[in-house]
Amino acid sequence: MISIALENVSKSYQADTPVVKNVDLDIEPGEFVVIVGPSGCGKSTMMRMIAGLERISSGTLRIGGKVANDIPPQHRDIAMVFQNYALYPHLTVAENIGFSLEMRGVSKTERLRRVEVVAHLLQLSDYLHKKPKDLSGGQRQRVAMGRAIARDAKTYLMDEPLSNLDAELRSSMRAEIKHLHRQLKATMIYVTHDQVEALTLADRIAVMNKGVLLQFDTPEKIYDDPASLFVAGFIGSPPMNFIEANCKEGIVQTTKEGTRIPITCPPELEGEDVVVGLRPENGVLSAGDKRMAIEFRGEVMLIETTGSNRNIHAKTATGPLLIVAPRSAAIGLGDNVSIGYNTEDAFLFEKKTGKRIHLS
Amino acid sequence: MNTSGVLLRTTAVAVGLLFLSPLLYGIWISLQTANGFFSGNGEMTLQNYVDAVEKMNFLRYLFNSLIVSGGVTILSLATSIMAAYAFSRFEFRGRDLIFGLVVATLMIPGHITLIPNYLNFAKVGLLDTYAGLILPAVANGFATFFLRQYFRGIPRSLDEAAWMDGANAWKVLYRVIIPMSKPAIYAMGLFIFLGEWNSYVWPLIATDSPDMLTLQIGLARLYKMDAQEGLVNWPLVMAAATLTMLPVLLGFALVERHLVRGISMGAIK
Repeated sequence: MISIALENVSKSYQADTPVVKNVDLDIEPGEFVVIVGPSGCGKSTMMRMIAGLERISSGTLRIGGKVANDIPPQHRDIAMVFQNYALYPHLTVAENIGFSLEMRGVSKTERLRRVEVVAHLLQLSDYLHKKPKDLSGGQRQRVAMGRAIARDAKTYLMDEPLSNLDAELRSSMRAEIKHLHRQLKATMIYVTHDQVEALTLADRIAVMNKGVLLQFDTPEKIYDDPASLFVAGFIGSPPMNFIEANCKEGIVQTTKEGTRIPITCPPELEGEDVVVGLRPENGVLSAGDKRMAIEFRGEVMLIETTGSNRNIHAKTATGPLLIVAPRSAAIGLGDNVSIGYNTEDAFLFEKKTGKRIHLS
Repeated sequence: MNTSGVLLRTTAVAVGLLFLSPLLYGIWISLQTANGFFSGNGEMTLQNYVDAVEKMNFLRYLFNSLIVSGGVTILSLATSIMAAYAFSRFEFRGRDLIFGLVVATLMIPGHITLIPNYLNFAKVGLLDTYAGLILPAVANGFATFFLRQYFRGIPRSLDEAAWMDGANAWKVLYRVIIPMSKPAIYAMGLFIFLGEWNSYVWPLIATDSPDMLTLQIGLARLYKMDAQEGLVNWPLVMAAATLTMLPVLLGFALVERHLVRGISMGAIK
């Protein structure tokens, strides 16, 4: 187990166009950190800088407290699982898994022993003599994982390792990765654009967008207390509803009919445009009765059944609104509904900067 | 099979026979006695092969040709693989310029460098030695270019995976890049070997003593030796030429599969 710290780290391929901007990240020994963000946000670049596969343009990387900017990848004691697996096609599964041990001069007997242990752990024992081309996607993914864990690295990096798998396999592999982390007790850094993976796997999540680290916190905190409009919209499924409004006379107001958002605005935002965020799962359908503080009236346009719940898409005066309702909710297409929220369920953001404004 | 198929196959067989005809004709001549060849009475024998081996010092020349062609093939593959690896994988100042210069050497006819090479080798006393026959062919611009193109087709993530697994640049080369480039390396190796096996001008001017001659020079001497006696013993010369071809045919048969794959893979990557 080892700590990893990025201090003001930036990466630019061309002058004036940094792909990672002044990132500070402090990863504790043994922690499982997921870096999440949309495609092109710089998350893979950040991981590759930690691996030593990309040079750091400015800033300091510390591995185990030591400055590691100029340490070549093979001396960082980091194992990595690549998005495309990067298995050696000319080697068998056993040789792929044992490759890192061979590079470190581990004896053949010990190598075989460890390969067998890892193969057993990942249920690959029957495939040890096959070449990667003879394996399915899921098996290849396991081999890639096996290659990384065969040696006892202090840190494991995983670059979207599940992105090529089908939904069922992803779910089971997620559980296996979490289980592996508990077994190995090593520091793990995992990159994904899938927020479900981030929420289920991470001890802490680093949310990135456009090369900037927006928030680094526990999954619960990221979900319950997003620091910005982007984080609020990115984390959570279905995504948060956003309603544009304005601060007037100390209150959030919309000019739309049938909408009531009685949230107090801080004085410094008087006259400013704001965005109100409401999670679909906190909304309550109340046909006509006005018990909730925040209220929208609208017409049901689409109903999606997800199994245990139903996603209700309504058209309101402020725009489309999505809420998650229990399957028992007696609602049909075209029904006029009233959607209510408690004020404590609302998030307020400054429209100009996307910054979160904490409501008192 | 439809009409166009029949036409295509017939043409292919005809063209194949056309290409093979000098070879088959040569082998046919080699199996006749000298008397039978000149008088046309069709008398057949295998004695020419025995005579070729004895008169031409065949085994010595074969040994020399194998050493020289084998040496050039191994050494030029070694230098080309390393150069191609550097050009395809490493960033360094002037890389593209140097690569351009390597490619530019392909435009220099070999004969232009004959005299400077001869003078330099004479100065350092390497004429009439194996080193003198091997060294001028060790730097191979075409092989460097060909292998560099091939290496560029190998995903970089494999190099990166090997780096992460603890490999250094050398290990990445010989545990990942070379095994994955076997078809291209086999193909290039055979091209180099064939080129050197058939090489004539440089071995002719760089060797002097009978013990250092290669097969091609030996063959020419055999022809001239008999010609001086007034009449070329064509069946003997053809038997020697057929024997000279055999090791190459054998080598080709061994690596043919790789050669064909190598050519096509190099072309599409």
